[in-house]
Amino acid sequence: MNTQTAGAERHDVVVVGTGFGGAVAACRLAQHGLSPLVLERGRRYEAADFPGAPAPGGLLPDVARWAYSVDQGLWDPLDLGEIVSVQAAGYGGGSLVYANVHLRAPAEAMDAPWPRDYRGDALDPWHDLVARMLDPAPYAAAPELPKRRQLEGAFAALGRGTGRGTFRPPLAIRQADGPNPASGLPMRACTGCGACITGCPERAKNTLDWNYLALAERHGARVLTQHEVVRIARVADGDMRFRVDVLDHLAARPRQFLARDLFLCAGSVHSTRLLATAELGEDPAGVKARVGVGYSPGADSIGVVFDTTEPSHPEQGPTITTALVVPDPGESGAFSLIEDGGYAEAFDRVVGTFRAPLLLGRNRATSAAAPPRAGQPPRQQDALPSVPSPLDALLDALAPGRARAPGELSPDVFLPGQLADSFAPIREQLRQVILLPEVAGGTVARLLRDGYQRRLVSRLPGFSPDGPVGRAILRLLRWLVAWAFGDDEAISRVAFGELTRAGGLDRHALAARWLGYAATGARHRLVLLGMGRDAAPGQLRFTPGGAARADLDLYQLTPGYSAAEGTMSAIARHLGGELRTSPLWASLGKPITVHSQGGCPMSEDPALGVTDPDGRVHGIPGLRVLDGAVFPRSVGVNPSATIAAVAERNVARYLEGHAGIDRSLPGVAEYAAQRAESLGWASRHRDLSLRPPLAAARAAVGATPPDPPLGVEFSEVLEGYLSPADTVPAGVDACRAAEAAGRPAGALTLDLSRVAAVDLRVFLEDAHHRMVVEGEVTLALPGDRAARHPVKGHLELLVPRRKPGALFDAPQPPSRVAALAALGAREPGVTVAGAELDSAPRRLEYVLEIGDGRYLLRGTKRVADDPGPDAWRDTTELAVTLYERCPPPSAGGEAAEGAVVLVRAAGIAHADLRRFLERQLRGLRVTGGQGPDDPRIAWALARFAAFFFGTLERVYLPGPWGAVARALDPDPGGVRWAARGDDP
Amino acid sequence: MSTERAAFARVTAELHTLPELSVATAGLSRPLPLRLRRLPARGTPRGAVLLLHGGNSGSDTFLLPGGGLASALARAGLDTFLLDWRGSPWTMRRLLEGPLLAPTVAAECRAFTYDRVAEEDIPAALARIRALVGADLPLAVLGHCTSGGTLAMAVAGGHLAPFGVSRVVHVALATFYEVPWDGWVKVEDFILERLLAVAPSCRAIDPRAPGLWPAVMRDEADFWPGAWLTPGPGPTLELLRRLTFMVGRAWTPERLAPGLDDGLLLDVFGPFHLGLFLHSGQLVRRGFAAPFDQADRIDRPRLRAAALRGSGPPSPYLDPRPFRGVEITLVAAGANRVWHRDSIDLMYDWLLNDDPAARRGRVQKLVFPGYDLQELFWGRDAAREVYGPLTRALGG
Repeated sequence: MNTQTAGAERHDVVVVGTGFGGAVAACRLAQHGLSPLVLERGRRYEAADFPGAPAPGGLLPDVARWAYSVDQGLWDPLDLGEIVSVQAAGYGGGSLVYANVHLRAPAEAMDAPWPRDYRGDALDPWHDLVARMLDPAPYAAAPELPKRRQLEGAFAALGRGTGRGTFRPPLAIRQADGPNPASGLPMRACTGCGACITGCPERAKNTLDWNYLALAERHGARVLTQHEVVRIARVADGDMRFRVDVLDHLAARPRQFLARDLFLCAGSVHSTRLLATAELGEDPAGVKARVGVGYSPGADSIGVVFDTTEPSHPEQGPTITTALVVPDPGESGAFSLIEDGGYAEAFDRVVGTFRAPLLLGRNRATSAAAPPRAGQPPRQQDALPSVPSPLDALLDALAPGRARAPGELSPDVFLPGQLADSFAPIREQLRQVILLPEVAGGTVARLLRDGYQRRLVSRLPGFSPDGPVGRAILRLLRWLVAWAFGDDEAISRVAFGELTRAGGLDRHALAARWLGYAATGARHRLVLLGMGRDAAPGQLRFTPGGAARADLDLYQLTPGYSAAEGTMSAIARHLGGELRTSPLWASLGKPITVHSQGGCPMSEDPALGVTDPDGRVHGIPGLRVLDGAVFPRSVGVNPSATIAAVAERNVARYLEGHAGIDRSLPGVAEYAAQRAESLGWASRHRDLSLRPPLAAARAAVGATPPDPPLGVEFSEVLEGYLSPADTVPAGVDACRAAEAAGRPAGALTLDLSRVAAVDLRVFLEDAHHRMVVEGEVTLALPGDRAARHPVKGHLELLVPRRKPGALFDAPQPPSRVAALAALGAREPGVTVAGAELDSAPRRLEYVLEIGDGRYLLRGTKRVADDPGPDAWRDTTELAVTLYERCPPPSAGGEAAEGAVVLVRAAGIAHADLRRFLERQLRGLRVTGGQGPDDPRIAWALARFAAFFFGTLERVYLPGPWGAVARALDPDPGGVRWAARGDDP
Repeated sequence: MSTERAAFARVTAELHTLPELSVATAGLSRPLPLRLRRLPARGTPRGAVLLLHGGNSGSDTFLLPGGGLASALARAGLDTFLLDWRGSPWTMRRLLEGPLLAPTVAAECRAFTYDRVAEEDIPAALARIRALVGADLPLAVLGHCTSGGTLAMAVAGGHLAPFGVSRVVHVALATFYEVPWDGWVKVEDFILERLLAVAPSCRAIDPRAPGLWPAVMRDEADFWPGAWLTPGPGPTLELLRRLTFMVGRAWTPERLAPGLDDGLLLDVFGPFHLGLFLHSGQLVRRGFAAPFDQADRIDRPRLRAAALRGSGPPSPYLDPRPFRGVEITLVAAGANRVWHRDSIDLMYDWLLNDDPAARRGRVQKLVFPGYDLQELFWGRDAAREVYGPLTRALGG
């Protein structure tokens, strides 16, 4: 136990964070005279302090004020590997930028694994207390908001009674001038400017600094902002039990505080991080092994509908004004919400980047249904000139002899035919991408002659401006200075002008053209926000240095994302617009969440969670977690109200057990009054939609059968030769040599007309990754002439060479496995992603029965069978063995008792590159989709491609990627990230 | 004579120029001359105010347009004093007429630091003011731009305490120094430090006289020709262009009050001592106030690794306790492109972190969205939007 505590300030209670958990804790503790020290890593924000959009002439906003990682700015996005989690940093935490929604979770969502005391509506009294403080109500100031009217119309038109799930959520905003109902501070009425999610400039948003935190300071809480807790440790120093190591960003110095009781309220990811990296010493409940389990991103998704037929005015009204709850027909209890997402007019151009041409349409979930109508703005056009592209040369190299007109670029030969139409516009944009280096190359070289950056580089220790590294830095500096940091000052204009002069373009034209950074048709856009109850819990893991990774079962989560996307697409079609989803999700399969929950889940059994139902860390007296990290399962709705209600409950439990409270303090009386006033709050507000109308929606939708499963299928033709068993060469190399020596190629033709994974979910989850195979084989069976025979069987795609049964036997600490099981993981410790991360050599195993089953053809493609990246040969060269069952199976296909299998022939077969490009790739298609616009088709293709090419990438490129990862690792001294299952 | 020039002449005529202040400074062979002028309050004074101008410019800053902030304060019943401290063009012109006051320019630079201004110039002026207005009249100090920082050093160093200053107003700058990206690039380029080596006779830099700049400065300014604003007609735009290269764009011509573009502003600016420039560069690199030439063991404090090591001597100016006794108003120009407005925001958080109970009601922040640095005084709408809150903050 660390006892380095000399010189540290001592406090009875320390609260880390000022979001919906920390603010509640700070307030209640202060009211009871406990004078907590409140540590907040971000800044204080008043109405005029929130960072703005880029200046009208600028490209990027002031990153120092936006990014926490730069200068303690407002936003703290964390790349957790499989997902990006976005946190707010500031005095008031997430309340500064949330969309004001105060919803209670449906009773179905508050079931096991939540502790018994929370289930159903047990949390309602505490919700009432939060409501007494925040006074939520639906936005009523402008009943004719265009975006709300249009969206609710779209909800109603969704069919199957889906519109019955429409409701207007209560918002914690002030809708009239007057005193704050909790603190009495003067506030103003919401002007409906849409800036809720970028910081309210009107003093109208009831953020926590107006209520809980204002009361906390009034009653003696000491608040230190820009004080970031970097580590906690248990100590034994009198009655002090914890040391809190803090970075004071203002004075640029480390500080230490001691605490008897410590409340972690730093947000789900950061509270979990602090606990995972804590020096806990004795850990009788073994919580360290379980910290991070049950992490849930809350199934957040985002879409932007462009070119709505009617103006939808996203800049009018608060960010969220209406919502739709959609029950999941496939799984009881699961549901998703779709809400509108308004934003301030100044962010029009930023939102335009959802349709960046550089995204190549990857995130286009629907195409606009109809040509522009009267009064509608012109749709975005691809206006750059058509020019020959270097891709043509690439194509020639890959598919020689293909007749094409000079200059024709045909990337669609690489694409499944199902997507070829939608990729037509992409083809044009691809040309423009190829152009970029041609445009910029000459000017970059010219710029390098200059002296300014050379001098900068010359001052970097160890780098010469003339060396390759120095030159690269120079180039980077130019771009960074001019592009990233420039606002409308002349310096950046001129710098960028130099860079792009040869192209005759200015940076704003470039940004608009390549990044979609434009406000064209901005009044005809509608942002859709999705969230829901996760299908599966994930895990957060941390290096000793605190770097975070999330292990999510994205396979389990993806159908939820797809369902939300499907609903959004239907809305977009109704509105006559085009839906664009998150570019990160569409391009990299990486969701973004602003609703991280879990990581320190509550459990009654100390062996199955991290905290007890009162938020106390199991086995660590004095340490509590009081924010969304304690959720055992995501609530599905915007979680802030639940976080605050849980915090109210658990800080009250703490105060009940606290002996030293002076009950005569005015704060105690104030708290008692607030409790009394909160009694029956919900019953006095029956007109509000405090919960999504899930039951009504479910009743209306009925027991809709789930959609048929999505599958993938393709065809394949392999040609080669087969020799009788007595001349079978030993090994693949000998086969190759024999073939090269003139064996009769073409004597074996495998024409597999259908290679199919009928249910992609099953295929991916199956350890054997098995696909159904049907087709014909042309060969001469022993004693017969060459002839065509039907074949059927299966293919195991990219399975490891080791025994399949051993594939998922990665060791897991028993407690983590048990905890995951308790939290609802379907197969604890068994996830596909973990196996895919393996870089072991792989095989493709074909097992085909010929005709009546007497003959069996077994083929193997060996991936990475020898050194070197020969992926083409490895994945298209099939080593074939022909077996005969003796005696043959009966007419019914039953194998005879005591049958043996004899090797009759062996050989080798290959795929033809041209046929592969033109037929196999183009023939790859998704089955089970609901028409050509079904967005799940793109998902399924991407998922299958990610499985196939991702596995190949890991097999062939483990070394280089490992080297890159090591070079980029911010914590080189820390533990390397091991494959899933290895406890870091 | 233009209307604006006439107004300027009128207010200048109303000023009482007090007997010259003379400050003896260690390391210099002669005392430094300072100028203190007084614009008496209309009616019975309700308080007295000392106005401290920013770098490269003089106290005339507060007399434009149409009498400027100083006239507004005097009308509000405040006895208004304008100090031309040692960095002012008024002092510098007298200095540059004579020989070096120290063996070398580098040695002379050590007397031209913000520490010395805080320790010597401001107390000298306050002592004179107290002698004039008596011991009981409430006294406030406004520091603009670099003087906002110097004023914070003076508070932290306890140099105001003997004079009973009850209110301070920091415009754009206080204890924390943040700049936009181009300012940061420039200080990291160590242009000024190189001047000591390559132009040993350069004692000061005058934005109005680029012909006298050392070659290394001219080269830097000419690196991206036209980058520092498109040259326009008239000397005022050329001045702005040079200032923009030196410190960042201080105003937008279209947003200035009418009449200020006919060369009147040229008289406000002048040479600024290299030592003060060097100290500014150090402060920007460090991010917070520290004495001149204090070892920079944490060069960029916001690099968390360096900060977590916590090395480097503590800056004597990073003690918030001396600020407890005064009412503090922090003023941010929302579109400031000389100093990043974070300079003010960080100060606000820092002050509130120190014993909020003692602070409550004694610290306020005023933000003027869309204002460039000098527009707080010279902007088209400044008299209507800015002067009132500033006057109230100063006790008017």
